[in-house]
Amino acid sequence: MHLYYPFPDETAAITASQDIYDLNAPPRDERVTLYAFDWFPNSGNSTYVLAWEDEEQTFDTGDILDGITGLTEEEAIDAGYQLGEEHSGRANA
Amino acid sequence: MISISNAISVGRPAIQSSAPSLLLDQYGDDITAAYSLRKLRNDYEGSAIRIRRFSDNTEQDIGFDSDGNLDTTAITSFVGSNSAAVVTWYEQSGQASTWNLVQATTSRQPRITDASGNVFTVNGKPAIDDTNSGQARLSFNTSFGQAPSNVTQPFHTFSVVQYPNTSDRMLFDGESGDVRISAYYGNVYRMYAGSSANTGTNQTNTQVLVDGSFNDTSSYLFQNNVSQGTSLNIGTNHMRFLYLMGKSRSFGETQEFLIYGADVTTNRSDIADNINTYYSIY
Repeated sequence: MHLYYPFPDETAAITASQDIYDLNAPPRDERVTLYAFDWFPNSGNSTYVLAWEDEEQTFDTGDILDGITGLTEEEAIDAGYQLGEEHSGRANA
Repeated sequence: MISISNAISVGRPAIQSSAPSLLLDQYGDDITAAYSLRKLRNDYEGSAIRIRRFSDNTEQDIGFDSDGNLDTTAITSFVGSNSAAVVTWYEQSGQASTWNLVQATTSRQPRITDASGNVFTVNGKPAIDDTNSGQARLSFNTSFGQAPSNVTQPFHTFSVVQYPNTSDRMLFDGESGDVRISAYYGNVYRMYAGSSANTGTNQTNTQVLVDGSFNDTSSYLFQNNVSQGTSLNIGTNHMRFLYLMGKSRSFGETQEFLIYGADVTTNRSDIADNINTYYSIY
């Protein structure tokens, strides 16, 4: 299952993805993986959604997503978020 | 090279042995980047892959056993009965060490084991799998902008892969579709470097070796050492980025990917034979 959490801009979404993974992994200097979840842009404004997923592995999100209402996939698409992969996330660290 | 000589003369001839010649020991000229789950040259001292176990997100490099195969014993020991993902596929040619294939986002990382810790295999050899990947968006991404230069035409790729259907499964893709080979709708292969050329007949649900020469209007493609088309007009785009197994959808399994930065028509069949000798594809 996926829920999409809006953030005001790409930097905020990336930071949240990093912070969530930091809660679930060894120190950064001991790993290559940096991000827990993908993030996707909005076609009509500068906001991004973080694509929280609960499939095979669930990450502790601490209080990072507290106060943010998650959108279903349909709601995210209706709100203009481009969940098609071509524009999602960053290619690399 | 391992050399054993009988320093104490006992009337026997000296015994000398050397490690078997590997793919890049024989066909290393013009190699640009090489990724495999087997060791590709004797002088390579690095690991094959870096993996992340799901149990605690710890990462560990995995090398080769004494025969040059992926060290699956080390994987099992590290992972246990859990899933493990591939974080990095190390570049073995040594031409450009910054061209390791890295995926830094957990949700995009392909898998090396299933949820029970079993190493994925294709035709009896370990394989990297991106079909059990949740969003089905797992692929390697790397910015070739980190490397010394783009891969310019002519260049030649060799891919050992398996894919489940032909709904435009990308063997590899580039940024904004720079260059790619895909198993396209209608059971054809599609090569692209600015223009598309559909050619040949692809094979689903079975291990195949696909090699393609990117050379403008003289491009060509082989599957299992059988020509799938020549004089293909695919355009002149260079490889600036590489998304192995596609950028935007799941692919299947992959075991080896080579990029030669030159026209290797002279050695093409010999390289294919070397790959086939190891993987027993056709």
